[in-house]
Amino acid sequence: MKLLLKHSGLMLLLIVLVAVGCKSETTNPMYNANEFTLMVAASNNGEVGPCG
Amino acid sequence: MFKYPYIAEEQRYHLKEVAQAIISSYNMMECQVMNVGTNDLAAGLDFILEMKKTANFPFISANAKDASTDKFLFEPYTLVETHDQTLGFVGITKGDNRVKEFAFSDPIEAAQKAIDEIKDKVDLVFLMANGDDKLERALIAEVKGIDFLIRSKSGSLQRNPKQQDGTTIIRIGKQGKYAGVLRIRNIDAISQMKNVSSQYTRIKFADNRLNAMAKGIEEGKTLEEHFANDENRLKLITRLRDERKTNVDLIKKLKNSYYLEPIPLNEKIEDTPEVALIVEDYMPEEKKTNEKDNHKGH
Repeated sequence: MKLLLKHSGLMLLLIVLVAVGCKSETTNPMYNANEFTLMVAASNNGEVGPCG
Repeated sequence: MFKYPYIAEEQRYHLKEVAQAIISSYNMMECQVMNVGTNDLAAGLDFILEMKKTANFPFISANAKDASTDKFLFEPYTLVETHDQTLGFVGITKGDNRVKEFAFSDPIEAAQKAIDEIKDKVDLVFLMANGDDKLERALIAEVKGIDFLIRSKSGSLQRNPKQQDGTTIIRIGKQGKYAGVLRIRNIDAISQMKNVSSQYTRIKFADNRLNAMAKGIEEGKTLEEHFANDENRLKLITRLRDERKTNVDLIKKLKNSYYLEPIPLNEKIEDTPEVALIVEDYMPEEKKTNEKDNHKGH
C-alpha cells in the first residue's frame, strides 16, 4: 500500500473503512457505540510509476 | 489514477496498466468508495468504465457526465454502514475541458442535490471533493449539510483540521505521502464536532510510556508490583495513568468528537504482501533490474 500510494500519482480520493472495532463498552463486544474509524487517502500530482 | 488530465500517446499503454494495478490494490485493501477525480478520466470513457467494472467498490461522482449523452456516469453518492451508523459519501470534481469525452455539471449544485437526497438517511455526510482551494471555499460557503469535507488536490497536510460553519475540512496532503486515520465519535446530530487530537496524543503518549515500562516484567505482575521499590517509577506510573484517565474522561464527556492521525507512508510502514506483489508485477523491467542491482550493493 505504501509503495502504491506513494508513487502511483493518483488523482482520487478513496476511503477505506478500516476498523470499527475497539474495546467493548456496549452490548456488542466488538465495538464502541457511535464510534468508527475511516482511513482516508488523497493524492495528486505524484510521481507516475508503479512503485519505487 | 493519472497525474494529468491528458496522457501522452507513447505512455498510454503503460499508464493504463498502472491504473489497473491501483484498482487491483484497492480491491485488496477492501476500499469502500472512490471519488472519481478529473484526472482519473484522462484515459477516456471506455477505460474508466472498464475500471469501474474491475473495482469491488463503487466509483462515485455527482457531477461527471458522458459528454456525448449528457448523462451522469456514476452514482452521486454511496452509503456505508458501520456497526451502528450510516455514513453518506458524496463525490464531486472540479472538471477540466482537457479531459475529452466528459462534461461536468456545477459541483456546488450537484453536491447540494446529492446531500439533500441522503441527509435524512444518514448519520453523517462526507463530501469528497476533488478540486482546488477556491472550490473548497465555495463548497463550504454554499453547500449545506456537509459534516466532513475530504479534500484531494490539497497542497499540504493539515494536522489540525479547520472547522467552518459546522463542517470539518480534512486535507490529507498530496502525492500519497500520508494516509489519514480519522476516528469519529458521533452521538447526536446537534452537538458540534470537537477535535480531540491533543487528548488522543496524550493518551497515546501515556500508553507508549506504560508499555515500554511493562517490557520484560514477569507475567502476571502489575507495573506497580514490579516497581514496588522504585518510588520515582511509581510516581511516574501514577501520573501517566491519571493523565490517561483525565483525557479519556474528557473525550467521553463530549458528544461528538474526531481525531485525525496522519500516518506517513514511509519505509517504517510494512507493505501488505499481496499489494506489494501487485506493484511488483507492474514495475517496469528496467526498474526491477536497477532495484536488484542496488540491493546487490548492500
